[in-house]
Amino acid sequence: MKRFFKILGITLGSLLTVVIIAATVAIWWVFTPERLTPVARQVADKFITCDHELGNVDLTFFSTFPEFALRADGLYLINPMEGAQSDTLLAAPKVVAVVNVMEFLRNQNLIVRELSLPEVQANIFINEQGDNNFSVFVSSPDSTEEDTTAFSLPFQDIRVEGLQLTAPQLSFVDKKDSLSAILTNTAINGTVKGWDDVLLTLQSASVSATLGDTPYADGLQVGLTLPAEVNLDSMHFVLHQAQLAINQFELGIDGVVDLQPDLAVDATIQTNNWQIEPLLALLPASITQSLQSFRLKGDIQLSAAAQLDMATNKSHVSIHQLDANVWHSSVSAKGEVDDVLNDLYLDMALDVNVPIWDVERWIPQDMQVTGAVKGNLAAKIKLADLTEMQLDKGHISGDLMLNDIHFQMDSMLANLDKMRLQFTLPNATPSHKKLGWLAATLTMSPLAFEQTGSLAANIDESVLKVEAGNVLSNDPILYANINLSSKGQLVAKMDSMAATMQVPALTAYAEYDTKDATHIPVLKATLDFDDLEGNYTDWLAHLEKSTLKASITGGKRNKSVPVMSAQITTKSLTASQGEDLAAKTGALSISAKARYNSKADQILLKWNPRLDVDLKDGRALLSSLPPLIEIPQIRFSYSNKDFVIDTSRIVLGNSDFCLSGEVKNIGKWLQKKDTLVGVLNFTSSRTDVNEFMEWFSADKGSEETEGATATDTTATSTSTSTSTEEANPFLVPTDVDLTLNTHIDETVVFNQNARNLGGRIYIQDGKLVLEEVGFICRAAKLQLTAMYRTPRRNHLYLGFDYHMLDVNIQELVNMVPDVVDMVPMLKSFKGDAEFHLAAETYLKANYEPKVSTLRGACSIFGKDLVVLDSETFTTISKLLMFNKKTENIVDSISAEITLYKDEIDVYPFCVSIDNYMAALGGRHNLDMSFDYHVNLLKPLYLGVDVTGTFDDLNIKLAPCRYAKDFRPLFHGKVDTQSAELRATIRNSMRKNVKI
Amino acid sequence: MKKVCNLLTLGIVLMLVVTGCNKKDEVEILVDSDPLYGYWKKTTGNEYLRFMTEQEDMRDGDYLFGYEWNEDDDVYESDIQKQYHGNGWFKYKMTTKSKSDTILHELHFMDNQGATIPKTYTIVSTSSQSLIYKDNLSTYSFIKVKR
Repeated sequence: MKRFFKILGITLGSLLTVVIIAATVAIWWVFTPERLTPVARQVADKFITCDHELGNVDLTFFSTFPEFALRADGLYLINPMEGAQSDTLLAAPKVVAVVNVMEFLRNQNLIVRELSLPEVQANIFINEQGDNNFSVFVSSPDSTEEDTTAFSLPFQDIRVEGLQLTAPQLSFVDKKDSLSAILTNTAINGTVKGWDDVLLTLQSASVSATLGDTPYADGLQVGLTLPAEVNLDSMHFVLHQAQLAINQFELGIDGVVDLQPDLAVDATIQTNNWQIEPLLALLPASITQSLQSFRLKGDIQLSAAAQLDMATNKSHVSIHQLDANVWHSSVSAKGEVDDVLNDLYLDMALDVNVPIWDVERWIPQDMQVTGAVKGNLAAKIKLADLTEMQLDKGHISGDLMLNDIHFQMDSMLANLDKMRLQFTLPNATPSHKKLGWLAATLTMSPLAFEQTGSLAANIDESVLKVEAGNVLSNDPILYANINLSSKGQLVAKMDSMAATMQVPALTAYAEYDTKDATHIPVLKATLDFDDLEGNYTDWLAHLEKSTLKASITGGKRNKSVPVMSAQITTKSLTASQGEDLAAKTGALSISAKARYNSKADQILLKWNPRLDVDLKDGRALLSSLPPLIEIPQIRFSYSNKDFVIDTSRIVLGNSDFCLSGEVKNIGKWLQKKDTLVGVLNFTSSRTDVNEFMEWFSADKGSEETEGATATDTTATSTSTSTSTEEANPFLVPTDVDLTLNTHIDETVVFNQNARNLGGRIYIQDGKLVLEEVGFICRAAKLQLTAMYRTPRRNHLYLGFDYHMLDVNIQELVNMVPDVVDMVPMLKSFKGDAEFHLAAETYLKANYEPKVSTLRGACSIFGKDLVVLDSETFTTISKLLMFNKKTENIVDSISAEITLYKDEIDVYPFCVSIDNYMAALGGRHNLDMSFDYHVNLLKPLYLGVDVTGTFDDLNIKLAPCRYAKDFRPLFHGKVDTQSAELRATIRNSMRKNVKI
Repeated sequence: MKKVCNLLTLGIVLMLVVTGCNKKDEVEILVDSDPLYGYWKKTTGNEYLRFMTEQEDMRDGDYLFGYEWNEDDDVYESDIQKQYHGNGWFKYKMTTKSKSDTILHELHFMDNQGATIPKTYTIVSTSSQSLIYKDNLSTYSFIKVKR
C-alpha cells in the first residue's frame, strides 16, 4: 500500500510537474503577451465596434490556478455620443478572462468561463432617439459580409459565461425615458449559460435614480438577484424570480422587461413586510405629497402583477394581496391600480378593521367619534380624487360593522353598541336628483341620543336610510333624505316634554343653505307610528295609528319667507290637561298650512293660515262644565279667503247643536279692504236653557254688586256726565255682513217647552238685528225682532218689536214680570190674551237712554178673562150684590199704552162684569208718578182722579171723562176718537206679526 | 093726582130737554197747516221741531211730515234719518170741530216701524213767532227760529 501511494504520489507529482512545466512553457514561451496581445486586440477589433483600448494581454495560470486566464491590463471603450455623461463607455483597469483552454484547443471556441472586471467605471447612455452607447459588441461574426481582413479569428466562437464586475461608479442615463441612475460601489456578478439562462447579481452600496425631474432613489442600498433570459439585441429580458432589495425592502419580480423601444415591464411582484414610514421616505415627493396629511405608520406587504409601458405611458398593477397595518388599523386589499406613475387610479376591494380615531381626517373637526369599524370597502377612484375628497368622481361602496360607537358634536351625544353601515357613492337610485352623492343604510342596535340640557332620545333597533347630496362640494346647499324605521319604540324627552312612540317610521327631506342664513331651510317630514303617548307639563296625549306630515320651505319668490304646512291623521286622539280637561276623538284629520308675511301686523295676516279639520266621535270633559261634550262630527276648513263649516254637531247635556255655513273675505276684511260676508246656520233639535243657565251662571248676582254702588250714589251721579266720554260701547262694524240662521225644534226654559224657535240674527250695514225670532210655547206664540245700531259712539240705537199671541196671562206674567209694572191689574187676571210690545230708544255711550228719543207702544187684548181670585170675587160679588149667575169672567179687555219721551199714556179702556162697567186711562211717568182717571160707568156715573205715586196717592172726585168713549150720558153716540187712536196703535203693531 | 101729572110732565120735559141738549155730531174740518211750517224751538231747553212744507214726498193724505230732536240729549238734526221716517219723525195734521178748538194730531214713527204713536194736542195759540199747544196734562211753548 505504501508503495502504491508512493507510486501514485510520484505519478501525480510528475503530472503536476509536467502541467506546471507545460503551463510555464505556454505562458512564458508560447502564449507570451507579445503574442497574445495582438491577437486579443484583433479579437477586440472584431467584436468591439467602438473605439477601444486593450492593454497588454497575457496568459495567467498560477494567479488563476487551476484555470488559465487571459489578463488584460485595461480595457477602455470609448463611444462618445452627444449628450452622454461621458465619452467613456467602460473603463476597466484590468480585465481577467478565465478561459476554457481545452474547449479552445479542441474546438477552437473561446469560452470565457468568467470575465472579471474590477474597479470598473461605466457610463451607459441612451439618447432621445433611443440610440445607446453600449451597443458596441458584435454578438457573432457577420457571415454575410465578406471578411477582407487578413486576420482570422483564432477561434470559432466566443462566449462569456460569467462576469464579475466591481465598480466604484456606474452611470446610466436614458434621455429617451428621462431616466438616470448612478450606482456607487457596485458589484455585479453574472453567469451566462446561454442567453436564456443568465443570472445577474448586483449589489450596490448606493443607488440614486431620477425619472424626469423626480428623484425616485437617493442613496439606496440595492441588491439584485436576476435570473433572466436576455436578448441584448432587442433588450428583452425575462426575469425568473428576480429579487430586488432596496434598503430593507425586498421585492421579488417575475416577468418580462423590455428596454426597447421603450421601457416596458410585465411582471409579478412580491414583497416582504415593508414598514410604511421608511417606505414613504423612499418614495418621491410627487407620490407622497398627496399622502402628507395622512398619519401613516405600520407595515405593508404586497403581492401584485404590474404592467408598465413607457411607450404608451400605460402602467397597471394588479394587486393580488396587499396587507397593511397602519396604526391600529389593518387593511387587506385586492384590486387593480392603473396609471401608477401619473394619475393613479384605484379599483380596489378592501377588508378593513379600523378604529375610528385612525380615520379622523375624514371626520369634521367639530365632531368626535370613537368606536371600531370592520368590514369591506370597494373603491374605483383616482388617488388624487380620494385624497382631495372629490369622492363623487369615483365609485365607493362599503359594508361595515361599527361597534361601540360613541358620537359627540357640540352638545350632542350618541351611543350605539352596534351598527351596520352599507353605503354607495354615488347613489345609484336617488329619489331626488340632488341626492345622487351618497346612499347609506344604517342598521342599528338600540341607540341613545342626547343633546345636553334639552333633548334625550332612545330608539330600539332601527334602520336608517340616508341619501345625501355632496357635502364636500362647493355647493353651499346641503341636501339630505332620511328614512328611519323601527319595529320597537322611540322615546324622546325635551325639557318638560316627553313622548313614546311605537313602531315609528320617519321620512324626511331637507335642504339647508350654509351660506345664506336668511334662507329658510327646506324640511319635509312624514312620521307614521302605531301609537304615541306624550306629555307636556300637565298635558297628556295619546294618538293611535297616526300619520304626521310637516314641511317648511322658503317662498318661491323670496326664500326668506317661511311657508309651512302640517297634517295629522289619526285613528283616535286622547288628551287631558290635569283635572281641567279630558278629550277623546275618533278619526281625526287636521291639515294646516301657513305662509309668513313679515309686513302684516295681525296674526292671521302674518301667517295666512289654511286649516282643514275633520273630526269624528269627539268627546270632551271640562272641569268648568259638568256634562260631557260630545262632538259626533266636525268638518271645517279655514283660510283668510273663506271659512267653511261643512258640518259640526255638538251634544251638550240635554242639548244638541249643529252649525254650518261659510264666512268669506276674512283676510281682506282684516286688511280693511272688503266686507266680511258670511251665512251660518245654527240648528238644534233640543236646547235646554235651564241647563245652560245653571252651567254659566256668574259667581255673584247683580244685587250683590248693586249694594256696593248704592251707598255711593252721589259719586255715581256726578260721574255720569263724564262717564260717556270714558265709556267704550260696542260699535257694530259697518264692514261686516254676517247672518246666523237659527232653528231650534224644542227649547226648555224654566218650566216651559218652546217649539220651533228660530229666526235670523245678522250684522249688516252697521246693524245688529235679531229678526223675527220666534217660538211656540204653552204661554204663547212669540215673535221678537230686535235691532242695535251705532251711528255714533254717543248715539246708539236699540229697538225691539215683540209679539205674543194666544197668551195665557198667568203664564205671561210668569214669563214677563215687567209687564205688570205697566199694567198692574194684570196681576189679577187670568185667561187668554194677545200682547204686542214695540219700543226703541237712542242711547248714550254708557247705554243710558236718551229720553227724548224713547218711543214705544204696547197693546194687550184679552178675552174670557178670569178677574180676581175666587175668594175675592165672592167677597166683591156679595158687596156689590152681583147676580148669582154672574160668572168670574170678563168678556174682553183691550188696553193700549204708548211711550213717548217720558210719557206713558194709558189709553182709556173699559171693563164690564155683571151690571158694572168701569173705564180707566191716564198717564204714567217714568219717575213712577201717575195721573189716572177712573170712571164707573154702570150702574152710575162716577169719576175719580188718582194722582201721585203709589206711596202718596191722591184721589179726588172728578167728572166722568170717559163716558163719551164707552157709555155716553144720556144715550149719546160713543166718541170713537179714543177707540180709533187705540185701533191705530193696535193695527200698526199687528202688521208686523208673522207667527 | 095733579102732583103726579105735574111730575110726569116735568119728567117728560126734562127728558126732552136733556136729549134735545145733546150736542149734534160735530164735523171735523182740516185746518191749513201753514202757520206751523218751519223750525220751532222750545222756550226752555234745546228741543226743536220742524214742520215741513207741502212737498210731494212730505204728504201722506191729509198729513204732512215733520221731525223733532233735543240737543240737550245729544241728538242733533243730522241724526234724524233722511232715508225713511223713523225715530224723531212724525206726521201731523190740524183739524177743528169749532173755531175755538184746533186740534194738532201727530203720529210719531219708530225706526223699527213697530208702531205709530198718536199724540193729540189742542192749539192754544199760534203766530209767526210763537206756538203754544197743550194736552190734558201739559202745555208746550215754542218760538220760531231760523236754521
